[in-house]
Formats: sequence, structure tokens, C-alpha cells
Amino acid sequence: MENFQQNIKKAFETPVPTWDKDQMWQDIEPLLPPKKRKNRIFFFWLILAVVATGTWMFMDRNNESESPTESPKSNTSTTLQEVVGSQPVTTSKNPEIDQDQNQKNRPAATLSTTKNTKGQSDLKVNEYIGGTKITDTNVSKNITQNAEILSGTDFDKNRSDKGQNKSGNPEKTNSFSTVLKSQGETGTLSQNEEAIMPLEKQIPLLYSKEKEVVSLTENKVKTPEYFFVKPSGIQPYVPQKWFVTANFMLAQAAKKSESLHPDGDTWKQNRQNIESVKESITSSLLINRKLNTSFSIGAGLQYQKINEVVTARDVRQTVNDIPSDSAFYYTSLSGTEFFAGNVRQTKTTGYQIYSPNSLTRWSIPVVMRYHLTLGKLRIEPSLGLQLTFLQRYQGIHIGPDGRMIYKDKALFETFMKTSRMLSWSGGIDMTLYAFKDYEIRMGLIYQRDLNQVLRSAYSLSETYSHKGISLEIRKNLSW
Amino acid sequence: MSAGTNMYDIIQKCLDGDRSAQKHLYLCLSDELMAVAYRYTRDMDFAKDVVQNTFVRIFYNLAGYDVEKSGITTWSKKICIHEAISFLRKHKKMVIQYDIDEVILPFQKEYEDENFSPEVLRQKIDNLPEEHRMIIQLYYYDELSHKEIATLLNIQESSSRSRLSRAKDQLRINWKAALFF
Repeated sequence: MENFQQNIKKAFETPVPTWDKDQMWQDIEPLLPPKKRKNRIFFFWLILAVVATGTWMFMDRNNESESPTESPKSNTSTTLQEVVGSQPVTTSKNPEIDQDQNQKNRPAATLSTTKNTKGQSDLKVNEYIGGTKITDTNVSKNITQNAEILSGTDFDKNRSDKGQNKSGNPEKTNSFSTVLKSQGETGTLSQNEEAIMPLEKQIPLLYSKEKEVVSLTENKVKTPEYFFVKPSGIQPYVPQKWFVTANFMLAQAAKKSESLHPDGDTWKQNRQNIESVKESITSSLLINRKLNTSFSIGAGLQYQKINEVVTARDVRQTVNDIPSDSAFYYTSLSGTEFFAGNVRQTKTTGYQIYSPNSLTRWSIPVVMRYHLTLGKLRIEPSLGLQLTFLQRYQGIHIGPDGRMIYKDKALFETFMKTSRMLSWSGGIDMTLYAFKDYEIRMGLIYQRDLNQVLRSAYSLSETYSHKGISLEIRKNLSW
Repeated sequence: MSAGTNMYDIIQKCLDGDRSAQKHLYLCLSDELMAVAYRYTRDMDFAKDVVQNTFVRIFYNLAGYDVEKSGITTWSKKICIHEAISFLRKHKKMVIQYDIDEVILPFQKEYEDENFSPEVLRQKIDNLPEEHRMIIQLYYYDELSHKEIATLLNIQESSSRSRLSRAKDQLRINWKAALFF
């Protein structure tokens, strides 16, 4: 026996003709798998985080520079000259005259004097923020007092003497410095008192009043604060009890395969080598209801499409034996062969078959949100559950031996679950922009299947997971 | 690629997509695989086609290679044999008969008294029907088990045994080579 085997070996040991190895390598090289991109997922999230942080910082800085009255930090460093001194002082006999001011040119704060019922002039500080006027007479009195202290004149008398300007217009507008220089007849402090009080002691009094003005803007002006949002002349968004959300998610999908097949590991390995899951696109429409100030719950309809690519090699030995309605072709050294079918196929090179497969799902999501406000940042962590009632697969699949490639819709529907799929999701998002009844939000989301997508009788299990970014448009409902 | 680099490192680099490592592995295996492919196809152009397919499969399936189970050469040879048989099926319309009830045995007297030489034996094996020649080659030269042959040829394991037995009978009849058995 051994002798025969040795003789057989000798018989077959025939010299091989020479051949060009380099030429063959040049032919093989384009067909080889591309170099692995390491840490692709890590870099994806890193870039996302950097972009989000950079955008946040940039937008936040812009907001601060646009409205100094909103930031408490900027208020504390604001001098009276900045708050009041540079603004025009408006005097008017008609109380309605202030309301006719052009909204666009309206300053952050104005001083105005109006005749009261006793014929005396009252000075008021009008604060305009977000289109709302806040008037404080007490502060006006303090400022009047300061003006009198520095000028030694009766500011109010000046107002009553010059109730009308030369053109007969009852309104008169002076700068604060002009007011300080103007003459008056009466005041809270008499001329004697003014003469007694040295200038060094008058200055702190002025600054203490400045603090009151600052305090007014801090404590009494309550404007809705949103991240990235500076409502200016636009009615700000206020969450209502009912709201509808349209959500769009773009995610990087992944698939986990487990097998109970006798050759499960080989099969799984073959599948992993051939199939690569790409992105998933999800869109949903939810109607939400606020349960209390912190929580809301929503339900609706969700559509999800998971794309994956099958890149197979040299399936010539099996394709002819497989009943299929697929359409694909391959190109080899001996030419290109086509196979009839109705599935969309794309470019094929060498011995590779490239097939974009897709798994589509229709689900009913239920999402619970927690509304959290952290300073300017309004964030909402959420937890959801999706029940899939319809699932479809289209594309080429790999059989247990790793070589069997086929596509048959009827066959897929025999082993793919078409309903009762369950997934959970978790996410966190934040307000990007808000106005009137609308709000635009952006966030990160993670979704994962709770059970496998294949029928239990099938010896392979598949579960998908998704990591991605979401964009949401929210609208209040007037229910 | 330095001379001191062991095969395990080369395989790891190949898995990472390192082109120089892949070329190094190609150069290490190409002679062996070309010999296998040429032996099966007996045509240089066909053999090149088979070897090219083999390397593409090797690099795509390298992640599934278990270094503890077999050597890289043995593993690659099996892939090459598989490719060669597939190629022959496709291009040479080789038909595997699952039940050979009747084998035509061309009795050729002129070989009876010839002495053994590898060339003559090779010639006699080449004259065997395709499936007999194939199974002798797989079993004796490539040292595959009946189970592996059965998987490769898509037949039952028992069919592999019976086919080998018939192939030997035919070879024995063709040439009274009982002394070899």
C-alpha cells in the first residue's frame, strides 16, 4: 500500500512550467479585500463629539456677544454707563408714546418721564428684553437722585420746564450726560446737601444704584433660555402638553450572528467575511403627551431600513444549481456571465459579486422622555421600545457551506421573522433651535434588537444594533 | 518582509490587509499551489486561473484559518484542490457519476509486461476515466480522507470508498500492477 502511494506520488511529480509570478500577483491584488480601517467606529464618534462641541462653543459665544443682558456674568461687570448712560433718556407727557417706539431700534434700557395724576413728572426705567417692557419707578427715582447729586440741579424741574421742545413735540430725548448737566429746581437732595456731600462720597452712592439696576435685570427679567437659541423679536417656544415629533436617524448598524448549525463557527465566519452591515436609516412620527413637568411619553409609527453589502467570490460552482430570482453577474478571466433575475445589482469586479441587501422594518415605537434643563442646555434622555410588525429582506444570502449564494424572496420569507420583533433604544438629545410652536433637536441614539430576526427553527440567529445621530422636529399641538 | 518573520506574524499582517505580507505569503505558496493546480487541470492557462482564484479565496478566508489544526500550506492546498475541481466542473464539463454500475475497462495488453516507471504510471492513471483519476489523486497524492473527498466532490463517503476501489481495480486491470498494492 505504502509502496503504491509512493509510486503514485512519484508519478504525479511532474515539473511545472515556469510562469510569471509578478504578473499573477498584479492580477490578484485588485481582487483582495481592502486594508482594514482600524478604530473606524471610534473615530466616527470622536469626530462627531468634536464637531458637536465646537458648534456648541461657537454658537454659545455668539449668543453671549449678541445680548449682554441675558448672561448674569456679563451683568455683574456692566457699569451704569453701559446700562443706562449710553442710552437716550426719553421724556414724554404722553404715557403711550413709549409704546410707539420702533421695536427694531428699541434699546435694552431707556429712561422716560411721564406726568402723573398730580402733575409731577415720574422717571421710569424701561427694560426691553425679548419684546417685553419692564418698568420700575423705584429705580428711576434712584437714578434721578444720582443725577441730582452729580449735577446739583433739580432734574424733575428741568423736565417740567421743558415739557415741550422747540418744535412743539411733547417728547424730549436727552443723553444721560446731558441730563446730569441740566438745571432743575427741586430734588430729593437740596443744593445745600449737595454742597455738603463731597464728590468721593457721592460716587459710591451712584455705584450702589448701579447694582440695583443690574439686580433688576437679573431678577425681574425672566426670559425662556434655550441652548443655541436667542429669541429676538420671535415668540419663544414653550413646550405644551401635547406635541408631535418627526424624527430622522442615521446610524452605523452592526449585526451579531450566532449559530446552532453543526458547522456553525465556519458558517458564521463565512458570513462575517462576506457580509458587511453598513448604515441604517430610520424615520418615525410620534405623538407625545407630557405626563408632568419632567416626563412625557410618545407613540407612533417607525420605518427603518438597514443596508448591508454582500461581497462574494467565485460562486460558479453553485449558482447554477440554485433556484433563484436574483440577478447578478461576475467577471472572470474567461469573461463575464450574467444570471437572470429582478434584484438590483451593482458593479462586479473580478470574481466578486457585490450586492446591496436591505432589511426593512415597520414598527410601533413607544418612547419615554425626561425633560432636563441644565442652565442654557435643555437635554432630554429617552428610553424606547419598538415592536416590529412587518419585516422584509431583499438581497443575496450565504448558505451554511459558505459558498451557497442565492436570493429567493419566497425562501427568505420562510425563515425571516416578519413580525413580533422587539427592540429597545436609548438616546439623549438637546435643543438646537426653537421658535414659536416648533423646536429642532439633535442627539445621539442607540438601538438594539431584543430577539433574533430569524425564525426559531432556523439554526442561525441575527440581532442588529444601531449607533447614530438623530434629528428631530417638534411641534406643539393645541389640543 | 524580513527572513526572521514567522508565518504567524505574516498571517496576522495579511489579516490587517498588509499588501507586502500578502505578497510574501503569495510567493511562499504559489509554487506549491501551481503544482497542485497544474496536476489537476493539466493545462497551464487553466492552472493559472485556478491559482488566482485560490489566492483570492485564501485572503478572504484567512480569518477562518486555524493555525493549530493544520499548516498554512495544507490548508491552502485544500482550497486549491477545491478550486481546481470546481474549475474542471465548470470549464471541462466534468460529470461526476454518482453510481458507476458499469465501468468500461479498456484492457490494453501492451502495458502488461512493462516495468514500472513514474512516467508510465502517470500515463496509465491519466488514461483512467476522470472520476477515477481524480479520486486516486485526491486519496493517494493529496492524502485527503474519504470524508474530505466526499465533501469536495459532493458525494457520499461510501461512494468515495467504492469509487476508489473501482479505480484501483481498473488500474490493476489496465496494467498488471498488483505488485504495487
